Amino acid sequence: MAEQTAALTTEKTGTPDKTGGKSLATRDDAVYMAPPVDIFENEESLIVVVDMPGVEKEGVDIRVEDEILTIKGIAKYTQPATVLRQEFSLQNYYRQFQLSDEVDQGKISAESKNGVLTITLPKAEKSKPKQVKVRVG
Amino acid sequence: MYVDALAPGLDPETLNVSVTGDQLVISGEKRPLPKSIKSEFIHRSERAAGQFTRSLSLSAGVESDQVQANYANGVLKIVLPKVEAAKPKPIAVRVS
Repeated sequence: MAEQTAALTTEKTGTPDKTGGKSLATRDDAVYMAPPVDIFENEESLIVVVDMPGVEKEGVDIRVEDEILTIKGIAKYTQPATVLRQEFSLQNYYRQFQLSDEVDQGKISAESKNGVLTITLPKAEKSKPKQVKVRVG
Repeated sequence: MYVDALAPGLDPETLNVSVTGDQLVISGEKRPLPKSIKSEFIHRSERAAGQFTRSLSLSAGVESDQVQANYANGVLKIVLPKVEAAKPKPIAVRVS
């Protein structure tokens, strides 16, 4: 699957700036990071595993539009006290992939466990390897 | 004292948190992709996997039997209550 980097578009339009013109907001206010993924396939389907710690089930947003798979995760984190050492800053996750037409887009399923999202994309019937009987004549 | 660790996909049975004196030790294992998948079927492999161990020195004394650890959504959160002696105490200033 090829990686697609399309700009995040939101429905909100920009507020008029000083010159009086309106700038269309093509960037979301929040900061996003690309999560690491493992992608592998078997005979039945393509499987994408995404590391998204700090994202609850409700914060996961997966959508398929025009053969582009978009994975978005909103992380929830509150800092309990004053920071002594900081090695990570929990950010939201966003990544897109181009799907080929070998995926049956209507049957995509996902499961979230321990901060890891596993997306299963079943292959369309025509792409599954089929046994061809060889007739010896 | 609070310790938060980003640790997605850990096998909860391998997760180990222990406090000895002023050292906090965390260890666990993240299961890699199943070996049954042949290498020609792997398109991308970016996620790290394997065992880890980490020890942190705690700056204050903690009550080791009151330490709580919680693992949810891939984030390990540890709360270590400070010993009474380590808590800041207000000192009254006498103005003469």
